[in-house]
Amino acid sequence: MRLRFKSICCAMLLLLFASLTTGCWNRIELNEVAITSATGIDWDGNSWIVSYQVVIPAAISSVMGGSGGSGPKSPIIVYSTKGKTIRDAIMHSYSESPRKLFFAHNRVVVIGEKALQHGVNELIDVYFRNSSTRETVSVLATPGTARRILEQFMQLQAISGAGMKEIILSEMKNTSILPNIPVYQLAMEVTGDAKSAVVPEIFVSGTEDTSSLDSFGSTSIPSKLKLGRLAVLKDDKMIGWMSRKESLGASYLRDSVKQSFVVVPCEDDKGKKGYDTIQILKSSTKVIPKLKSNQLTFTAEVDVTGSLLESTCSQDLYKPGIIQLLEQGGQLQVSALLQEAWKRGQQLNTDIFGAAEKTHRKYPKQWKTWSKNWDQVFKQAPLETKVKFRMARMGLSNKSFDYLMEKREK
Amino acid sequence: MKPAISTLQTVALIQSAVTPTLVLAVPSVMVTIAHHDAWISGVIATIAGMIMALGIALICRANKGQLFLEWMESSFGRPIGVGIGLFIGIYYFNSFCVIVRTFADFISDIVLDSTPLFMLTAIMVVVAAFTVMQGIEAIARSSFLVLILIMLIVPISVFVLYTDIDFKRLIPLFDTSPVRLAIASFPPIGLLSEVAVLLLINPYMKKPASVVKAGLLGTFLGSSQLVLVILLSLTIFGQQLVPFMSYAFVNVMSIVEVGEFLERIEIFTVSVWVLTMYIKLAVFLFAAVHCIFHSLRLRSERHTVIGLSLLAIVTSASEWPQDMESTFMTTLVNMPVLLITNILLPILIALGLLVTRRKRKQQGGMRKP
Repeated sequence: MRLRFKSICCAMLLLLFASLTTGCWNRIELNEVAITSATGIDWDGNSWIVSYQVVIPAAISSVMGGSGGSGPKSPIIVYSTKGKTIRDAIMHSYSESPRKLFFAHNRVVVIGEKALQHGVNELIDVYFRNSSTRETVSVLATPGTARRILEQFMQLQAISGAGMKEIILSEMKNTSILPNIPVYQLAMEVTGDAKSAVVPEIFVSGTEDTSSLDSFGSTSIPSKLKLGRLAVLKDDKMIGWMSRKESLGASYLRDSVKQSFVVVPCEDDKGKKGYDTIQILKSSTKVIPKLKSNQLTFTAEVDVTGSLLESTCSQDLYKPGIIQLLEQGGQLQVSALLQEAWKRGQQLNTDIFGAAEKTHRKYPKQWKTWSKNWDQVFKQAPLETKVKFRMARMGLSNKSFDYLMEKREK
Repeated sequence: MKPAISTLQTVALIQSAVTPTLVLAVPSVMVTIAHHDAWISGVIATIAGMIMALGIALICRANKGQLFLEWMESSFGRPIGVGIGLFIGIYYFNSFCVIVRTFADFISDIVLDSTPLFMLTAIMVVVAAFTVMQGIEAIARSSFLVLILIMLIVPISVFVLYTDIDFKRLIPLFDTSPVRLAIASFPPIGLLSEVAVLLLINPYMKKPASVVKAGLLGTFLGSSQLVLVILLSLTIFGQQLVPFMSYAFVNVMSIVEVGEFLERIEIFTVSVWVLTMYIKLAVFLFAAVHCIFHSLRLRSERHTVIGLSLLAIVTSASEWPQDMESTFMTTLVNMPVLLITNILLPILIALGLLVTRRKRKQQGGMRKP
C-alpha cells in the first residue's frame, strides 16, 4: 500500500515537472494578437510615424465572396502611431489597439521618402534586435507617405501587404528590373565597402482613392499599387532615384537578372522598321576591375541567352545573318543599359554595383588607399562592356508573320 | 566502478561538451577581430584544440583505470590529490553556473522572453541534475543520440542555405594581420580546452586505450562546427554585419525562405542546439559533483547533486545582473580560468607524473619480491 502511494506520488511529481520544464510562463491567444501584414515608416521631421496594416481574419472570407455578414467588410485596418524612436511609436499602439501587434507575419515594410532621407539605420537595428520581427521582410520605398500605400486595396489579393510582396517577387523573377530587398540585404549593402544600397519603389498609380471596398464593384479600379523606380541610398540615407531603364542596367551589373526582356529595333530589306522582343532566359555578369596605368577601370562581361518572343519585321529567321543581327541588336541594347546605369551611379556618386567589393578582393593592398576616397575613385572609373548575346530559341514560328504576308502578296 | 561508455559515446560527449558554447557567441567575437579571415582563426583554433586533446589523451593513458581523484591521490599523495580535486570541482561548478546563465539568456532572447530568469535557470539545473543522477552512461547515451541529430541537421542546413552562400565574401584571403588572426583564435582555443574533461571521463570508458581517438575526433567535430558557423555567417552576411549579431548561427538560419511554406526553420536548429547544451550542462555538473564528492569523501552522491544544484540555481540567476556580463564572462573573462584549469593544470599533472614515475617504479620494484 505504502509502495503504491509512493509510486503514485512519483508519477504525479514527474507529470508536474514535465509541464514545468517547458518553461512556458504566459499564453497569448490568437484572438489577442493583431497580425500585421505590412508596416509603414514615415518621418515628419521630428518623430517617426509607424503605420500598421492589421489583418481582420473574420472579414477576409466576406471580401473573397464568402457568406455571412452584411456585405463585404474590409479585411484590413490601418492605423498609425508616433514616437521619438520606432519602438517608442510601436509602444504607443497599446494605447489605441485592444490587441498586441504581432509582426511574425509581416511581409513588407514600406518606407516614405522623407524617412528614407532621414536614414534607415534605426529600422535595421529594430529588425535585428527583436526576435518578433523578421529580417526577411521586403523593403519598399514610396515617394509619398507609407501610410497611403498601406491603405490602398489591391486586386486579386485581399491583404495588400502580402500582395506587395508577391508583386516584387514576381517582378524580380520575370523582368528583373527591380530587386527584392529583404531587411538583411539592405543592412549588408548599407554596411558594405561602398556603403550604398537600393530599395524598389512602390506608388499609387491613378488619381482616385481605392481605400474603400466600393471601388471593387466595377471591373476596373481607379487606382492601384504599382512598382516604379529604384531608390538609391548612400550611408543609409536616400540620395535619389534611378529610372526603370537604369534600374535594369543596375540589375545586370549586380548580376541579379533572372529573366528579363529587350526590345530590339529591326529593319527589313525594304527599310520598313519594326521591333523584335527578346526574352532573356539566362544572364550572368562579371564586373572585373583592372588597373591600367594607375587608373582603375571596370569591364562588365555579360553572358546573355535569349529567346524571340515577338517580331514585327519581315524576316526569315532561318537565315544565319538574321540571327546575328538579332544578337548584335541585343548586345547593343544590353550594353547601352549597362552604360546608362553606370553613368547614373557615378552621377549620384554612389556605387550600387558592388564595384567596391570586387576592387577590394582583387587589389587588397591598393584598397587601403582607395577605400578612404572610394566615391572619387569610382566616379572616375570608366566601364567597358563586353556583351555575349546568344539567341537560343526562335519560338514556335521560324518566320515572322509579316514575312509570310509579304510572300503571299508577291 | 564499472566501465560503461563506448568510444563513440565518448566522442559524442566531448563534442557536446565543447560545441554549444563554442558556436553561440564566439563566431561574432571572432569576426569582429579577424573580419572575413575569422574562419582561418577557426582553423588555427581547431589545430590548437587537437593538440590539446592529444595532450590530455596522452595524460589519460597513464591512468590505469582509477577514478581521476584516486589516481591523483595515489600519484601525488592525499593533500595534493584533494587540492586538485577541489580546484577542478570549483572550476566545473563555476563553469556550470556561467553556462546555465548563458543558456538562460539565449533562451530568453530567442523564445521565452516572458519567463523569469530564475525560472529558466531552475528548469535547466533541474534537468541537468536529473540527468546526472542517472549516471555518466545515461549522459553518454543521450549525447550519442544528439550527435546523430547534428549529423542530420548540419547537411540539411547547408543545403537550404546553398543559394544564399557566396564564397567570394571570403576573398581576399589573409587580408587580416597575423596578430589579429592569432587574437581571434584565443576565445575558441579557451573553450576547446574544455576537452580536459576527458581526464574525468576516461576511467569510465570501456576501451581506455582509444582515448586518443575519442579526444581527437570529439574536438574535431566540435571545432569543425565552429568553422562551419563562421563560414556560413561570413558567406551569407559578410564581415560587416556578423559582428552586429549576438547569435550568428540563429540569424543564418532565420533567413531561409523556400517559397511560402518553409520559413522560420531556425527553431529546428535551435532545438538541436538546446539538446547539445543540456548534454554540456550534464557533463559539467557531473564533473563538479564527481570532484567535490570524491575530494571531500562525502557519503551520498545524490545529496551532493541536490546541494550543488540549489547553489547553482541561485548563483546563475543572481550573480550577473545583466545578460551582457555573462556573455562577457563566457567569451573573455573566463579565458584565463579556462587556460589555467584546462591547460596549465594538466601540464603540471603531466610533469608531476613524469617526476614521480621513477619513484613509483622504485616502489613497485621494492614491492615485487
